[in-house]
Amino acid sequence: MKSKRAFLVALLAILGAIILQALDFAQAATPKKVPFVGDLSADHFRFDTKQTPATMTYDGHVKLISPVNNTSITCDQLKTNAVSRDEITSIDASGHVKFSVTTVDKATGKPNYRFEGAGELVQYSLVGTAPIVHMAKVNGVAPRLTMTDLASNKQTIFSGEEIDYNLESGVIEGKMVNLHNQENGQ
Amino acid sequence: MIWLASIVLAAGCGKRTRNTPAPPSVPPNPAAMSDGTVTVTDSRIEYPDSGPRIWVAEAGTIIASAEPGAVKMTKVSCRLYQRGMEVLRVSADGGDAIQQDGAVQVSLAGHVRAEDLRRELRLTADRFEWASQHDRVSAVNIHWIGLGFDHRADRGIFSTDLTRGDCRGHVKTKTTVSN
Repeated sequence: MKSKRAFLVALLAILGAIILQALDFAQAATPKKVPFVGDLSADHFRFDTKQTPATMTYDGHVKLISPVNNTSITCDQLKTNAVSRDEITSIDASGHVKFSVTTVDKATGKPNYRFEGAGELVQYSLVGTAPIVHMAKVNGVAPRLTMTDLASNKQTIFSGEEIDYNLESGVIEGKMVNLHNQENGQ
Repeated sequence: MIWLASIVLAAGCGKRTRNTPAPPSVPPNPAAMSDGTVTVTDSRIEYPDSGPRIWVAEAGTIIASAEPGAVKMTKVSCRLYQRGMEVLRVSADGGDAIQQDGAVQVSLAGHVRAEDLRRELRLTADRFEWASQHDRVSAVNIHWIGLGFDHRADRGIFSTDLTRGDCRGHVKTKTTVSN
């Protein structure tokens, strides 16, 4: 009897552990919802909160300014999948896009890098839990990303077919990317 | 004359503007002007008389003109319906409405304020027009608030329940901490 009970207890413990791990995995796989904070202006704006996913589309002289990472974007069209301020998981900016993002050193809380990008298509999305900025070549116009080390003012310029920048890890990946280093202003 | 009768009947608690007030138990006689208009105060309009409701309005003053189905209102509060279900409440300083052929067109102006029934979406505007048959609200100098957003624009077109919109001119969006 004792050995049977011990077996049952062990079995329940194993099942419990499996369920907990599954819950952890499910939580990790769910995109983290980051509340959007900022101001937008444009000539034209459309929204549909009933569509799935919901959409907010801005056209003409679009300008976005957000205190989150000191972000600014200008472009011809900006589209989000906003259901509410708390549930934006993607932003697509297209047409003469220019953006600027300043990241902060988590340890010191001070700005460490400024990223300035230009291109015809810039997409921001949450992949898993990581916010990714994706830039792609459109109509023969290659994206360009300039990274400035704010401590040294050294700049690294990336241009190529595609550039992905992970805002969480700081990793930049690209396809057919050209790299160019220079002192700022030179 | 059915539309006029419906206003007068709905104005059960109405006051006449010219004649001596009638006793409460007697339906009031509206004040008929020489140009054919009829004015009723503190009154209510419901349209249509039968079938799915399209709108209900309560106003400080309702003036029914000689044109069939046309009314002018002051200090107005409306309830707008879609497929017989109430979807929006609107108030304004005044406005006009035309009730005809099972449809209503409403034009309101001055401190227009509209709110959906769940009180999640709110629209304020200088002018507001609603065409029931098209499920369409058009408004001027708009301020739409809801879902953590605060949108302003020179003009906009919306679904009656305010869940869809198309805004033009000096569009500005701000995020808000709460609704």
